[in-house]
Amino acid sequence: MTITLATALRLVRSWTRIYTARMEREARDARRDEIESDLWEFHEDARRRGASPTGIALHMLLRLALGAPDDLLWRAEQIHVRPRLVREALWTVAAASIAFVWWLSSALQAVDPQRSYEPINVVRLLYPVHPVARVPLPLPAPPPIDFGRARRSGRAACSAEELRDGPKAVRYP
Amino acid sequence: MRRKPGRLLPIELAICEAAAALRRRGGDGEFHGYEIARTIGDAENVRLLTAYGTLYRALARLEKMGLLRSRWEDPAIPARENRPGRRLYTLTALGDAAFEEARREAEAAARRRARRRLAPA
Repeated sequence: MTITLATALRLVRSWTRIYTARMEREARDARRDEIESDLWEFHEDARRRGASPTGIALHMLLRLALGAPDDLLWRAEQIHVRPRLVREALWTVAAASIAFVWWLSSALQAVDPQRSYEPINVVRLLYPVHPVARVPLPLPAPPPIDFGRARRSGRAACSAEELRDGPKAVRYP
Repeated sequence: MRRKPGRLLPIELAICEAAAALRRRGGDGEFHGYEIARTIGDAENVRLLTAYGTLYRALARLEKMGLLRSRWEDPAIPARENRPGRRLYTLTALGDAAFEEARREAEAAARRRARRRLAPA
């Protein structure tokens, strides 16, 4: 079992333990056992179909993330909190997150007008501290090599070593 | 998603449909959560299976409504096969009737839409 798959399994189990915590024993154990069974069946089936461990892990995490609001609503139903309250809380958190990113991007832009602080760049900036979804974000393309300038200056666009071994490091802006 | 009175939600309809399909395929008419998720995924030709929360919340709701019945399998079987125990669901007679009605309504609605599209303006 790879580290990625083990981590995904641990995350699904931890989340299940969190949202079923302090519930009636019967409902709690039933849900935990059901998720455990699903994880096993899914893992075995995906392995039989030839899926890679990373693919299985990502699939598990996506199923977890997409079902998280329903998990919270199910808990609310079990402990007799009105689901409407949970739904409103989820929408509030989503709206507050968007407002926070927008505010942060404006504040950073005001402090440092030289750099671009578009909201997507702010999300990239916050990304390393995000605890769960470490899915690679698309990076901007590296700057193109200016062959015209190399020709004008009479120097080669890249050294003979780079031509043989490839570029040493690609710097992103 | 808000439920219209007396109507099944799309996920509930999909579960009932998958349960009926599994029964048609043979076997004892019992199925577990993952089997349903896989059958729905295959029927809709999607790679991403129904999310854990969405699937098990819908199954719990259907059981509460009396459309499904569930039991845990005999602990000796998973112990012998070295796997976690399965919760096995069965479509009840009420579930069968609700599914047939929902299917008839969906077909009638599709026919009405098609007629409206074909009708001259």
